[in-house]
Amino acid sequence: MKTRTFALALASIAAATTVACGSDDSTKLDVTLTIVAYESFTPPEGIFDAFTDETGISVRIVAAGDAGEMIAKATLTAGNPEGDVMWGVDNTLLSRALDADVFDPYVSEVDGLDPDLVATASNIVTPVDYGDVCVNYDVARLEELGIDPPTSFDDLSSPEYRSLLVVPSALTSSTGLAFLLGTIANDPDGWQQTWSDLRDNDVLIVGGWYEAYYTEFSRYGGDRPLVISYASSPPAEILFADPPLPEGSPAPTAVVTSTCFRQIEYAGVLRGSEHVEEARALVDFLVSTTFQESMPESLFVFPANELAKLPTTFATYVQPVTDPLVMDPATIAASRDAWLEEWDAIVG
Amino acid sequence: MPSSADLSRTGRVRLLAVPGLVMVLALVLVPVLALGARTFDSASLFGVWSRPGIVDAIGFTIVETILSTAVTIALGLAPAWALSHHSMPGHRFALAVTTVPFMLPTVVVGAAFLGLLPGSVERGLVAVVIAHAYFNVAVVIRTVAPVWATIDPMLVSAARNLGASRTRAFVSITLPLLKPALYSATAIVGFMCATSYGVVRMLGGGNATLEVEVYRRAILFGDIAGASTLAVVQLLVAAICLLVWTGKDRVVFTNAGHRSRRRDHPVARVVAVIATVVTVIPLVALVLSSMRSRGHWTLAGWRLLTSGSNVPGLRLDLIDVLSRSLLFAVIAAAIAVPIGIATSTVSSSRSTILDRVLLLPLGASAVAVGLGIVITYDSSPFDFRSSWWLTPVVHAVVALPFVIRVIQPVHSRIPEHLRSAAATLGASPLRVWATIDVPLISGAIRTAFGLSLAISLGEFGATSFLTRNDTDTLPIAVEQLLGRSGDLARLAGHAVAVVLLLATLIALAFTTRSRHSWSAS
Repeated sequence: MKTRTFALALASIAAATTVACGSDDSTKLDVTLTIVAYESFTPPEGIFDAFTDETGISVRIVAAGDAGEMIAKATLTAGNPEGDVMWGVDNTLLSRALDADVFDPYVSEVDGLDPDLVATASNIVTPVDYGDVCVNYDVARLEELGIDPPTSFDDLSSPEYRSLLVVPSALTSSTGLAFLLGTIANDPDGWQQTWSDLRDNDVLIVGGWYEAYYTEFSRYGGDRPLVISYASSPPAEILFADPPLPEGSPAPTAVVTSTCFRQIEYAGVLRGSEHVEEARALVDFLVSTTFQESMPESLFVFPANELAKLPTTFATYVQPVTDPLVMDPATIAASRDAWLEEWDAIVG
Repeated sequence: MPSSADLSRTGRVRLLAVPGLVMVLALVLVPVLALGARTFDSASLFGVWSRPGIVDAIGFTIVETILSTAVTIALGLAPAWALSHHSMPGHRFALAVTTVPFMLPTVVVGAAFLGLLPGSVERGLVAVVIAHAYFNVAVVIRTVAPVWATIDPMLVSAARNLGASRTRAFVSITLPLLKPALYSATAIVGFMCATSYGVVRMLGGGNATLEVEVYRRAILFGDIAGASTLAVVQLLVAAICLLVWTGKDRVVFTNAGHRSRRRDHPVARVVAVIATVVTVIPLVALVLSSMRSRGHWTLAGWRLLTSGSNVPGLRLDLIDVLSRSLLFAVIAAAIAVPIGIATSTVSSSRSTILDRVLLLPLGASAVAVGLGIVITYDSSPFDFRSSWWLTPVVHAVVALPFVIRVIQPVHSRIPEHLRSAAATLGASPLRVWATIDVPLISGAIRTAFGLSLAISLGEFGATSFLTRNDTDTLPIAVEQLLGRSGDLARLAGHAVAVVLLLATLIALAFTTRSRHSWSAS
């Protein structure tokens, strides 16, 4: 492709010129950084103003699709990225990005960053938040049925909970995949049995989280009181309740904490960015307490910075998940395809 | 047989096919093939076929496509007949309403539809076929009705007088005359069902089409090489189908000069009412669900939209999203309609090969098109990846086959002697076109514009892959809101879906003349 080589040559000349000019002029004004994010990245309006005021760097966000779609595009455009910083690659996808050499290594050293999370990041990216995918249950419906909430994966296969659980498919939903990984982390050698027991106990598998939560879950008119969702769903059920719930009432849904699989999200500097220094400063801002404290209520995730304070709704209504199921990105990468095929054969 | 005037024009007229072909080439063929070439490795080329699920997916795609298409065509015939044979008050409404499901993103109507399926219909083949029929019946109505309206009732009466039964008269008179339109409808519906993603994912109960398989391989498995192999093969199969199809699909109007008088038929009225009611039920369910929560009526979701939401996590500026969606729709229509007119000018005097080629985007994998565009237009001066205009331009490519289906039949019915007369009197070809062709197809242009608007408003395929800079459209806003838990998220998501529904309905109703369908004239 001749034109392409020519274009690249032009681009590198342009880049060289820019760098040369940059060294003459030490102010960083007029740089606009682009954050590439998944579609549901909705930080509060104006949150980047503080960053722009301090550094003179403007920030714009470009977004499309879910994290999987974002990574598929990023691997195809590695080295010639659509932006400078990527937000939201998670531990189920990270190794794919690393294999394709999508990132220019940078780990932020901002105070308070959870070292356990940093340890999962392969020294290439910076953890920005985490959340848990867990079995959620409809408190009122279980009470009506006179059934105690389940407390473990094994409970889900007992006759008491027959035909009560709905799960998004691991083959078409990232939430479904996280739940599958949770069952594997819980019992690396016997997870196949867990699933054949679930199947025999009439688990319902649907396409995506939306169908599971909003059409089959009993809180939204379905007839299944157990659903795979997030640890942050119960606080959202209070925050967004309509009609509003009386002050101080308990959340209408709750989480089976022993089933929680931890999803960690990372931000990284995209290899090929022309503004590496500025991009690193932006990653630092993303893990600063200013940004991190805004995340729970706008993105429904937990801050990776331990110094960030949780908003009251979160502090009050989130059940602490003290011992989540975790899995190393490299382990996930090594076996995911085989696991999915095995899973499909069991439940398909 | 082309006239001599026709032959002299042919050379220049052929150039009019260029813009349409360039669009399909640049935004569908090249991207998909480039993706295939970029990720090519011989291991995937052969290996992907032995992956578990692929064979099942191919089998399911074939079975589902044949059944869905057959059921859709069969179910569409009655309303097509009814809407072609009489005009009653509300005819325009009936036409607009029965078209709406085709235009809306699956997630919007799919959920409402799911809630209405009887409990005995489990997720699986049957549910997929029913949903495809519901979504695509509009294509049959819009394609077959206008042709049906031109069949001279005298032909059928003559057959009946000679002793043919109703069935016999239908089979030996009406059906052959409808054949070209039925072929056309079959091609579109077939492509829509074969490349179905949302419906199959939502209702398939674990079954996958090839399109779902492409998505899984590319996005969930990260096997882009395997995915693009499947996508390239899918595109080739679609192209072969189109070539084989060509030639059998020449639209012939036996009585091109005069239209039949429309009789008001009580049965037609009943059929039209039934078709409208069946279509409307899931839509009404959607409207109600945007106002109903926990057994109470509420406008909280709507208030969230109108007050410029600052509820954390449900950020949405409806005016902003709506005006952007409308702007995109107008741009898409402004591109698709002129290209459609140009293409129709060529294809009405020639074979319909061109018109078939422009159907190809419907047979291509949206995932592959989306990823392909990202890698094709990634270096300067062609780095268009996050250009805002890419979205409406891709919408225009999707709308193009429908625009042509509206304009081409009307255009081909313009008697050549009118043009010859004008030319003999000294009018230049452009003048002939402006004074003869344009006024005669103006109704069709209006309809085409409305359809393009509606298609752009609801498009949620390839364009959902394009990276956007603050350019959320209505379907994307719906998807965003419905990705969160909580009553308000659901109510607001459904409310935006209702806004999308209304915008689509208005676009269709204001541009569809009563009496004639897909092609108004």
